[in-house]
Amino acid sequence: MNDLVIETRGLTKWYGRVLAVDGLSLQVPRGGVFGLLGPNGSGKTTTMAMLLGLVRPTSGTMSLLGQDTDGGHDQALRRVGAIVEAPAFYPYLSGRANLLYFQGINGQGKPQEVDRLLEMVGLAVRANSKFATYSLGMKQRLGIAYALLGDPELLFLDEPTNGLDPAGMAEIRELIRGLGGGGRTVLLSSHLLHEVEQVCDQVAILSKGRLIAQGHVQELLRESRHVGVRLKTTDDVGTAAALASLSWVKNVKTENGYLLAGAPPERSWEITAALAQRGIFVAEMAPVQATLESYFLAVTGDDAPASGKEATP
Amino acid sequence: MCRRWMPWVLLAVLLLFSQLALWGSYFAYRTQLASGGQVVFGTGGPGERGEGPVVVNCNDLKAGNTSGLPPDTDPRIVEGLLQQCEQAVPRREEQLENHVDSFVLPGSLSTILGFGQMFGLILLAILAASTVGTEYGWGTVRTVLARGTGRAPYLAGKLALLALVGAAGLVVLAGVTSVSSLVAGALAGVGIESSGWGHAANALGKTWSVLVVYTIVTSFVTVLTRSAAAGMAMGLGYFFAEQIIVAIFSALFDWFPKVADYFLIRNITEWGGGFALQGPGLDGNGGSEIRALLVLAAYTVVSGLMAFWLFRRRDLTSTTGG
Repeated sequence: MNDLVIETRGLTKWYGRVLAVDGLSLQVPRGGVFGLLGPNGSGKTTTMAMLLGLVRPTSGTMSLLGQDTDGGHDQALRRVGAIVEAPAFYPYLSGRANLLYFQGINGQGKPQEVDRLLEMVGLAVRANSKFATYSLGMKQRLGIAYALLGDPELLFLDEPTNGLDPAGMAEIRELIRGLGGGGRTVLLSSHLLHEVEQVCDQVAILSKGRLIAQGHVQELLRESRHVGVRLKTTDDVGTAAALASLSWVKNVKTENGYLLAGAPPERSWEITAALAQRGIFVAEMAPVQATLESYFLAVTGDDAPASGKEATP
Repeated sequence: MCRRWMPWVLLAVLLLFSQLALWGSYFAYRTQLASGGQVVFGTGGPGERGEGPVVVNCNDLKAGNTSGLPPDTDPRIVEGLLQQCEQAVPRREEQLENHVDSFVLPGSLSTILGFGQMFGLILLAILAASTVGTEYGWGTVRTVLARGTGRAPYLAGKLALLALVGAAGLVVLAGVTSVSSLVAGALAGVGIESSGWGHAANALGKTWSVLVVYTIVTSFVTVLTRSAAAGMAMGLGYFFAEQIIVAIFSALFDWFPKVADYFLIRNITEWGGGFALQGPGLDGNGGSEIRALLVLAAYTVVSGLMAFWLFRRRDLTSTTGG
């Protein structure tokens, strides 16, 4: 049995002269929370929209829940819950009425489920207020409730914490972590690195429509946990020269009054010994832990938000 | 306008204007009956004898009441006016029959449905543009389709719903017209006519069919532009624009009426046989119903296929690179 819920092969999308997704080959295994990480314009939403059949790929193939999407994949989509772009509902209907309406259209679940989901996302109190009166955060919560209608196997959540206050963000992240259990898969797109780091089991990093890296979050961090040590000494110039003479120390640079050295933290004692031989004494020394942010910046080589590149298809 | 109430508001507008037409006929009948017809005395303007023409009721003259005439009117003139009244009796009775036909069943149904075609087309076009177009604007089309509702069934459902709403509106219109007709007939002392029911049923079917055609064409424009406003502009504007264009260009070019024979509204008029705002029918001298039906079928099929094709192929997203 194929254990991939999503598989794309060379998925590409041009919007006119803008390349939004560039030959994306992605594999999302069943179960857990899978993050699509990338700056604004990196192709996350377009990728989700293609998987959901809202956008036609320019080229490439994909399968969803084991069903190839070439000839349409409406059957697979019936086992999927999604919130893509901004949550869109009828403004003149209440949150509850919207969910009941869409539940009726999709023929998924029972009416009691609506109230349970509204309770789950913290919207029970305002369930009977019109959608038009909701704040952005409340709209996001309703969107998540909608995505959960019918207990789908696969959830697409596109930047679900947009517009939420910090407490709401923490609450929703906790909820998403819970949703990724029990065999359900959550595909979460976010440009918030710490969000992905907190919530996701695996992550794919997109930049300018391309897949830069994919893997378990902890493995990616472990791979990049090279970062090294940060130190302050009695003679920074002499320290820099001493470190440069050590072949296993790389990328020595000064940042915020500290020297940063690319070296395994477990060899810190060798650094202090080398400095002591030169009569330099260490005032502060600490290992530098990798974060997804540092990894992201390292692999993308770009700390500015990317946008779709322009070219000719 | 809140979309939730839009169908009801549009139906209320349709009923209001149709009932105004029906009761207008009733009151015209009553007025004509009470006056016994009218004749005009004196054709000179204000400069002649210091007075303009005087309108006199025939029934007053027959009763010897000449108070409506100038005091020094020659009796021979009164006699002449009475003769005019007598001569006008056949025409007056024909007018009375026409009025009765317009507010008594089943003639009232044919009349009001014909009248309702014009308003119904415009109102249902507004509803169609709103129903299809606002789903783009609000993004709810994505919300629905992302859960596996196929695009073709989705659009087909919308069109079927609009066709049903059109049919329901006509049934309500016919029902309200029937009740009004019974009341007006009772007030006028006129009973239901036994003939003409087939014509009324035919009018109902034709009115519904032209509503469906116009709804599909409007929906196509809405899908094409992904805009409720554009769809409404088409629904409202094209109806009048075609008639203005035909009037202007037919006056300028001899060949234009031949081209105009294939225009939408002219064929709707020809087939539906209802409103007649634009004067002559096809070919400028009354055309073929069958040809009109074929032209309308072509509009329906082409617009419908294009709408489905576009809806199935188009991307449904507001982003182009995110």
